[in-house]
Amino acid sequence: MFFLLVSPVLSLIFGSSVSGLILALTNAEAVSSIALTIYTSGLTAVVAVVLGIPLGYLLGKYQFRGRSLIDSIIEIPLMIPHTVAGIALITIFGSAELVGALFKGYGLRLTNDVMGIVLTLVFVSATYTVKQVEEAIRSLDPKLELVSRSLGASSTFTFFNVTMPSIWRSVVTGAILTWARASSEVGALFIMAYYPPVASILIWNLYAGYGLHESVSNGVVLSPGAVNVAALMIFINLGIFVLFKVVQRKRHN
Amino acid sequence: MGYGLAVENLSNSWPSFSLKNINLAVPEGSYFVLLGPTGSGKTLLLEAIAGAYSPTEGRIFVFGEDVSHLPPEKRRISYAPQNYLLFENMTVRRNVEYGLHAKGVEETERKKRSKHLLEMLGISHLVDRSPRNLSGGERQRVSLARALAVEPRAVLLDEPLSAVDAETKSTIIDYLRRVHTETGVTVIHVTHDRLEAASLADRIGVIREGEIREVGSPLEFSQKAYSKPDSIFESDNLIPGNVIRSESNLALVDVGAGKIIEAITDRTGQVMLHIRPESIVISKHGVDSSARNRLTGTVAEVTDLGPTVRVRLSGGIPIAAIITRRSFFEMELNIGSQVYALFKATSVDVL
Repeated sequence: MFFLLVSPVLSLIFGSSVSGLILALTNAEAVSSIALTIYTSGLTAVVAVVLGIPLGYLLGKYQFRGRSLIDSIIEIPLMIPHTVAGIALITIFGSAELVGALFKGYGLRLTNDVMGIVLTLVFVSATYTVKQVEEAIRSLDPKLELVSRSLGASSTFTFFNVTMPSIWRSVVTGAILTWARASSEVGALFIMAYYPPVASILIWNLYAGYGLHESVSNGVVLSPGAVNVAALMIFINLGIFVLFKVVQRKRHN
Repeated sequence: MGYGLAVENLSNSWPSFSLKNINLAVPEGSYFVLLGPTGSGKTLLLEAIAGAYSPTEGRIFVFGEDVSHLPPEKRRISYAPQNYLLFENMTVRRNVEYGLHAKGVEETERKKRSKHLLEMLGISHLVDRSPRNLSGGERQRVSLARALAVEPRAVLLDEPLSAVDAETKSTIIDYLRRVHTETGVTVIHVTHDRLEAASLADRIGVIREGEIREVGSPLEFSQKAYSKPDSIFESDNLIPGNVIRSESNLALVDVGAGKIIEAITDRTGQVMLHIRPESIVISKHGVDSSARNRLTGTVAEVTDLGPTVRVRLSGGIPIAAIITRRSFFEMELNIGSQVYALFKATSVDVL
């Protein structure tokens, strides 16, 4: 099992050449799509945290009718095929559809735009953050907030000074999972926001059009090589992942 | 004297438990102990007073003000839970000053108050430490300081001595007494430990199955226990008495029934004595012994505790001793045996 999990990643990393990586790094198309991926998945993580904390808090702290139903509903995006998610999104956010048309009236496009990408990524990945927050809140002693409030602190003061510091690590973990999931999305983006292409879509395009490796004709780079862009993505993702781990450990100590 | 805290006809139901028509009146500045076994509802009652939930029926008054519908932060009742729940992301100082921060009290005033409390509780040296690596006794004192810093109208202590070892327990009891005397704050202290209740309380309320069964002074309770040993407040060597003479810390305490018990104390007047059952020697003959106290009794009940045996004596002063299994068999004790109970003056705690 371990071999199966590790070998493709190692093969990609060790199979990559410096010249191939440089080719990818100097290719405007590759760089802009990687930058777009980092930007949109990062923004997705931020949106997931901002909107996910209140929802996770509600689900983790209170018992109310319909709680377990909501709990199940927010897991649906993880259960359905990615292309199905894309189709589902476009039936509501497409420019001719309900919400899409509304935004179109204000000159905003929800498909094939940065906003469309983030919308899609939030849909497929925010669940991780909500779940992490929910679990963290549930494992907190409910008396912790009572103690704070009995000392005269308002519920808002309590939330920011006692609750948030106690669940912070789970929030970061949720954000990393969301970000990782968001940066790997292809299926739903094909349908909702194919353009501008994020790295995963570009890699697919390069592979479908030119095969695994770079293609250069008369000094003109036709393709920086799917394998090279993919290797670059792995390095960037691992880098950010390690950075988060370090931050998390620092907070713990 | 007004009531610091009063609970009027409070009832609340959960799927498997309910608090039934609770009435309590705690005089301002007194130390009230709510005594009850696990599952009696004492913590739920404390949470209702703190404002964790709104009970279906009844009202709660603090200094005459109806706080039943106020959120916890408006009640000015500090809650110190059993497991302390110190804020682990803050230093000890920040914990103690937390409530003052929340209320926007300025720094010099905050520092002044926290310094005073930290000194009173003997934890000044811990100010910059994280609560994470404090001992149980230290945590308890930080929790107390945190509760008191906001100058609350009442403090709720949930089993404050349950998580500390026996030695720390007596230290904390001393601190609780001191804090209560110095601040004059109204205290509600919840416990299952009768001895703890007797050592600290001005008044004791007994709670069982969600109901207040009895309320009275520690003395009233032990006198009741005395005449009726199977009552809720079972005696277990808690003996009320009067100091009749005291010379260089050795006191002669008249415990009734024509008996005198010698104890080490400089107290005068009414006192409560506790004799540790394992410090009592049982003998069939009144052998010469360095023990200053000698009571006679009849073996009324024998309980096997494994390596030790608890022997209850009746007649005169009801008393229980814990002796080794071996000496129990060597003495060939039976129900009805006439024996002496011997114990030193230093084995008597004066509460």
